[in-house]
Amino acid sequence: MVTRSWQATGGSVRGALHVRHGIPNQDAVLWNPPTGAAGFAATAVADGHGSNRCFRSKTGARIAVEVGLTLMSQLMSQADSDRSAAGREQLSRRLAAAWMEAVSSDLDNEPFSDQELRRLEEAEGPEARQEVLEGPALAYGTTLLLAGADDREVVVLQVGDGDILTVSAGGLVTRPLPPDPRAVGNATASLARPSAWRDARTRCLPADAEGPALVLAATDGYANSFEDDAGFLQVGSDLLAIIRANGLEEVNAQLEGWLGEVSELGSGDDVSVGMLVASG
Amino acid sequence: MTVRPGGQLAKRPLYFYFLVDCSGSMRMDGKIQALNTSIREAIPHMRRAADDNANAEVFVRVVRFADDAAWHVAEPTPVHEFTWTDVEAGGVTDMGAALRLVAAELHQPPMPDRALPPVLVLVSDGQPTDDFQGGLRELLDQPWGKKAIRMAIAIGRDADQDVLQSFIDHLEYRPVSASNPEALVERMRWASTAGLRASSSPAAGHTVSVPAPPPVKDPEALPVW
Repeated sequence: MVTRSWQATGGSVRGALHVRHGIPNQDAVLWNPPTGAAGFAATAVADGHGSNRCFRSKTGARIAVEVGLTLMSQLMSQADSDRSAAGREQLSRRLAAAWMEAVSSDLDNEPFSDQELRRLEEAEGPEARQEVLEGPALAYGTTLLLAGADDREVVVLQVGDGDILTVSAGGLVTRPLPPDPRAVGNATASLARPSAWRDARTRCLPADAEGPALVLAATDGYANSFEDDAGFLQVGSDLLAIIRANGLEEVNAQLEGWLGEVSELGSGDDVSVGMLVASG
Repeated sequence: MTVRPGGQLAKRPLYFYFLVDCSGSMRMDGKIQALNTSIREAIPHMRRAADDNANAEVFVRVVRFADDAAWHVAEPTPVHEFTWTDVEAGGVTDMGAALRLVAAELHQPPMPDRALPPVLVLVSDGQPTDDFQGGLRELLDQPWGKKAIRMAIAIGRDADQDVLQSFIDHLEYRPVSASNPEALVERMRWASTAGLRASSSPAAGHTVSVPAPPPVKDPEALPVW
């Protein structure tokens, strides 16, 4: 049996279009362990929706990666944790509930200001204001992508758009999750929806020699920047080759520059990626 | 320095469709000439709106409808290469056929999944003479049809506002009206640029918002149509 240890890293850049329009980076990314290798690793990436109704989605994305990384790290740190379909459904339920609770707490600490609500009403009309007041989680709307790995398995979970890729030791890049039929145009499933756990797509893969050597979780601004899907999938195989040739340090040194170029010449959107690298 | 991972980068495509009524009634009172003028005058404004988002590549296509519907500009044409060739009027108002023609293009594929929401601007002075509801159903059954920014310009008092409203299919947005050539130029300019800006806005993450049209410059101008 092959015993693997894992490293993690990631990066996020403010979209070129966001810079031009004075809009902040509404993505968030976290990973664990912060440096070095460990028996398990996890990463969380989120893309705040950024529309007028979702005026606190930057905070929603930050909360999502904090909650997500905590829960995924707990799952992967326990060798006997349940990663079956039932266990992953449980993870999805806990995740959606924890995000909603943290959002509610944020709102208690900082209720919507008159300025936030006035700006929304000016942009979208009184119905939008009413909609947010009746379901305030909408203001925090975000996607969430999670990946966790230990020497036994790789677990992935996704709510909303974006891409999770796995790369085999031979460089074969695949998407472990089925596509989200809701993701058309800029529309996406969201943690802000009631029963968002039902929208979670999950999978557990063996982490054996045939399993992933590299796992990527990226916001949709990354894939949307390429002329075609093959060009985006090539990111996975290229990254694995770079890591093998020059180490993860090379990726850490260059990642922000690469992501900036991708946004500038591609989608203009915020671009974020978290990655897990098998090192054993 | 290591080469950036991944293949060729590209802006996101944004497909813009004009659906123009060329029925016989458009021959009356210079409506068809005004329509040709209004689109020709909107083009430089569309180009500027497209330039405002360096991360979108705008392509324009045009459908004309009268007796049946047909492509007037079939190839998705980059907005900076798009020029207007006059349409002529004559026949009935097969608006449903026009919606079907566009619906067929909004399948995925040929629509790439990385595209921005398409923009559809429907211009009409009358009432559909074919199965409009069937065509609308076909359009809205397409995920990209449902997601499209749909805008409508009613020319004159005989335009069917209810039909245009059902095309828009949005509680907060209404068809805009033009009752003389100057108003049509203004409305066309608004629709073509506001649609482009809304589709490619960085704030279009969850819902797409189209700003309300500005008031016509000369509200006292006499209605011609």
